Amino acid sequence: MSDYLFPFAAGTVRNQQHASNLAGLRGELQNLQRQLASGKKSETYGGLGDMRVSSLTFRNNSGIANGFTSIVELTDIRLQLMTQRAKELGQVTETARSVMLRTRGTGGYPEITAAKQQVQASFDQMVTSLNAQHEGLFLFSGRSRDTRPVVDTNTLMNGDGTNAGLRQVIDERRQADLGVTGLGRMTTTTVGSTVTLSEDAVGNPFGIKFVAGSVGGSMSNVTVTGPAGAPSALNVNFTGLPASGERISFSVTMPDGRTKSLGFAVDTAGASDDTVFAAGATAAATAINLENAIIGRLTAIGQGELRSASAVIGAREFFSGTNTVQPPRVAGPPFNTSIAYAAPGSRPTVIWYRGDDDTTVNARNTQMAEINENVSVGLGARANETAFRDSLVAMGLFLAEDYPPNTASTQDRFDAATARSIELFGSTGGPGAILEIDGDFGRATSQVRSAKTQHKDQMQFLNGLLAEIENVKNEEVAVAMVSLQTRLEASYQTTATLSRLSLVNYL
Amino acid sequence: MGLISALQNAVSGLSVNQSQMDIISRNVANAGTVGYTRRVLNVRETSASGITAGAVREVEVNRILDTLIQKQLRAESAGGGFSDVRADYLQRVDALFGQPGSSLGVNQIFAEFSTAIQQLAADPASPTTRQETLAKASSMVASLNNLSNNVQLMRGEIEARLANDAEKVNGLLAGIESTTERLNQIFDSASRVGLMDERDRYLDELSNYMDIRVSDNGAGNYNVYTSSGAPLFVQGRQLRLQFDERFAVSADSVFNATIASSGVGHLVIKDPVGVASDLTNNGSIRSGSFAALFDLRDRVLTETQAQLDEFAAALATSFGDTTVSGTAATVGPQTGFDLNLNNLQSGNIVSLEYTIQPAGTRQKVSFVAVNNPAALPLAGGATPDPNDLEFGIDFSGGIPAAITAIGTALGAPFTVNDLGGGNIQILDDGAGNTRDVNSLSARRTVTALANDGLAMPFFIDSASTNQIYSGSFDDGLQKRGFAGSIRINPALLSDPSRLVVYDTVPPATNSGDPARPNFLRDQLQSWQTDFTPSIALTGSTAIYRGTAGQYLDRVIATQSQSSSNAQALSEGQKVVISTLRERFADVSGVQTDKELGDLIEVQNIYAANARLVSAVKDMFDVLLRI
Repeated sequence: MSDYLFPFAAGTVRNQQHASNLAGLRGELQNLQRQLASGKKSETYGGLGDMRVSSLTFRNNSGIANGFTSIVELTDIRLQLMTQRAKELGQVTETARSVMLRTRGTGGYPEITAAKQQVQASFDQMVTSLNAQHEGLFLFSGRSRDTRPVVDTNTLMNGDGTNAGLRQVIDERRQADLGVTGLGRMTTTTVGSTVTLSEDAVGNPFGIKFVAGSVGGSMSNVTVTGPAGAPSALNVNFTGLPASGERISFSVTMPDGRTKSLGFAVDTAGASDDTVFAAGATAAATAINLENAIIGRLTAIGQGELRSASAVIGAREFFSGTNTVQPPRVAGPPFNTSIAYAAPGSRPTVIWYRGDDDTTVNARNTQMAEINENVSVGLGARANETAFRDSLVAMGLFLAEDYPPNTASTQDRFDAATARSIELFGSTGGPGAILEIDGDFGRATSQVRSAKTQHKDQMQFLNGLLAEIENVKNEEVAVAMVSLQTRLEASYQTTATLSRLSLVNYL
Repeated sequence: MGLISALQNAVSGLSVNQSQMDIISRNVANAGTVGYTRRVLNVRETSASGITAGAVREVEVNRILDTLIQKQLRAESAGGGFSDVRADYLQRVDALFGQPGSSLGVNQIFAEFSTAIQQLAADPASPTTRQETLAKASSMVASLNNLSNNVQLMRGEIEARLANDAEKVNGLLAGIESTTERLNQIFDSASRVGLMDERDRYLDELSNYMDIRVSDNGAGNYNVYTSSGAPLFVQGRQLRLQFDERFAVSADSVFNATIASSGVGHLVIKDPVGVASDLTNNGSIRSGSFAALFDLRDRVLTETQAQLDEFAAALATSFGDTTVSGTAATVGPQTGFDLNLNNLQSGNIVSLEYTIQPAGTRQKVSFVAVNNPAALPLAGGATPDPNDLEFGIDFSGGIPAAITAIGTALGAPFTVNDLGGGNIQILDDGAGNTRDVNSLSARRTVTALANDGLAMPFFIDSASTNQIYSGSFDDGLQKRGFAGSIRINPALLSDPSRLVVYDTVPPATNSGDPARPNFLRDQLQSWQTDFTPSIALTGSTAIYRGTAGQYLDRVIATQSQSSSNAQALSEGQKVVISTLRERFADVSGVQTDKELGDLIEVQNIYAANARLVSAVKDMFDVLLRI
């Protein structure tokens, strides 16, 4: 029980109270001393008075700002990392492209071999970069960050025994596109004086296809009908002999979607890049000549252009595979007569990209950092984003091709393959496209930086307010201490004097 | 008349002077004695005719005492005892919440936990962030447990103190009895005043413990009652206080007016023939340290515990509960909702809202799931909303039986159908158009860490058998004491990936999927829930709606507010008592200077009396020499 309560010694209560007042003053002095030492007004929220609610609220807000600050800092680091990786990937594709450009037209086998090695190195480098990690987590696998996004290049190119690799996929596609006769799945017949060029089957997804309504040019005594029917066919009917220099043309689509115009001219090509055939003695003989010209032209395409077109489409098909999407594969074997894709998954294929492939989520949004109330930046990436994937397609189609020595068509193959690669590098893949991803990260970085400043300002502001509430002002405390000291000293003095003032001392 | 009588007068004066000296010396000697009141000697002239007339005689020794101030002081010291004890404990509660801005304060720890969740949402796959989240959650939980334990420790301490104080009061009552007995045997006024001082001292001390009323039965004997009239000492017989101390005090040990079912001790007063009356919490003791201790033990600290429990419950349910929405249903003219009741846990609430037509009054009905028929009927206030209709529904007999029970509870004109498969259908009265069903939904507690949506049993109740916290009513209130038994789900601690991976059925959740961390963050930072109004935050009776964090701030503000209020009250009371003490001291206190002044006077009178004696002697000598 406290000393101030009942009962008490009535005779000495004044002295006691005086003493307890003195003790109170001393206590106050000690409290001020504590404040000076700790810099805090109070040890508890109760001691803050009415400002305690403000203190709690500001603390809360400062906690939130603090949380954002730490997120912003972490995000900044991760964005720098992503930017650096994206730049690196851009450079890799840039290197591959310049190697191809440099080597085109030089024609020599050693140059081609060297180029292939360099592109192979770029390809490996690209896969390594796409498998980059931070804190043990992969950067380019979308949301499944504990999954290595890209398989190793050897498996990717050559398969793993069970699953087919890029080379095999392209090869099968090539066979399917070329067909048994090597005419790109076209057939020719001549009946009497009518030459018929036809696709080999209805709905066959492989090979060269007619472009409807693409017939151009004209020849005397020649009726061209089609391309029409099922399967689509073009008829050229000679009722007489065409005049020299006359031409007809029609367009076909390559498997990779490119169209090509094929022109056939009588006797002389003139200025255009037409295939020339001789007018025969009769209409029927002329028809035979045209058929042979068409066969010759298609065979040449089959050995050059079609190869690379098949490689592009084959590589695209291979690289479209993900965890949830099986890449399309040619039904077979045999492949050169196949007229349909195999049921998805029935022909096992290497899945090159193992990361998350939820197409409902933008790749950037697979990693979101909330850097401010309701403001988020995306810093995720997937190895199978178009820019990266098409870069891999460009390199992959080039690498999947064989460039045998001492073969006349080697140079053609090289040129055809690099043409497609370079075109891809210049459009949906390659340094330009990757730069756009880099740009996303750049924008996010600047957003993050400005949020950082904002949160810092906010923290500073709140800390200022909190200091105002919770901290003591040294000057104020010092002044209070001095005045208290004066009072205490005066009290001691009077107490001492009064205690001597007793009748006892004068009797 | 004559020399002889002059001599007698002078001699009587000398004798009275000696007694006065005795009193002065007694006063001076006891100036610093507790409970001592200043004594004076009453003297009177002897008035009887005859030889002794005109002499002086001692009548009695008297105490200088202002009984009015004494009474006031007793009343105020009861108030002092009350406010002092209260301030003392509340200050300790205030200190529990830590220094403002200290990293050890519970609100700061909560803020850090919230930050960690925020970071988890920004970088869900990182093992570091996951571990950090669990570490912060652990310190959050530890801090809550610690707060709860401290509150209960204080209640336990109060329990022990009550037992101790009851013994002290018995000692004081025994003292009053013995002094009263002696007073009835001793008639010497000098001894009597000492005994009266002693008896007053006991009473004064008693007044610190409780508010007492002392009445004089006329013969100088006191009867002592509490101010509400409960007897403590009546007709010379003390009554004995008994306190049945409970040694293990936990949050579940709550006061019950029935002694046998009370979790905490009752203070009982027994008279010599064994008739007992209960002094606890029925208004018998209104002030003094006893009243403060009872108030702290059964109201203030219980409320503090309830506030902590409420916070813990909000934390657990914000992560662990998921809303099951009803789907609109129409059958003929009747419209209403279908709702799936599967997997409801005990304590989960099915809410129905309807409008009474044509008045347009909206009514909310809460069906509270229980798994133990013994828990029914529920006490009021099972939900935070004071205006809803509450029905406890027993699910232990299966969902069809529960649906029947809901139908019975709801009654006409509603139609309640069992659609099978755990689905209930509640329809309005259709063409009658007296009721329109507006909504039907339920909050369901998720019990598994994966494959049941984003909600997760992040926190568990270590005191419950199935460890799941759902605010169950099956075995008492699960919420009560939850702040002390809340833990982090051990399965989560052993597998932190569950912070992110909410679906393990292929395709399983990706390690970097932010869905669950985002959910946790949003629940923690912006999900608002209703808090029970009965736990009296700032005296409001309205439902307090807010996030767990806001609620925690309110709790701290309220607690520290009441602490500083109590502090101010206690200081005010001290001033009152000080003032009264000084006034009391002015009257009853020994002032040495005054006593010394009296001494000089007595000395002078003594000298004069002696001089008279010597003059009489001289005169007799002259006479004899003649």
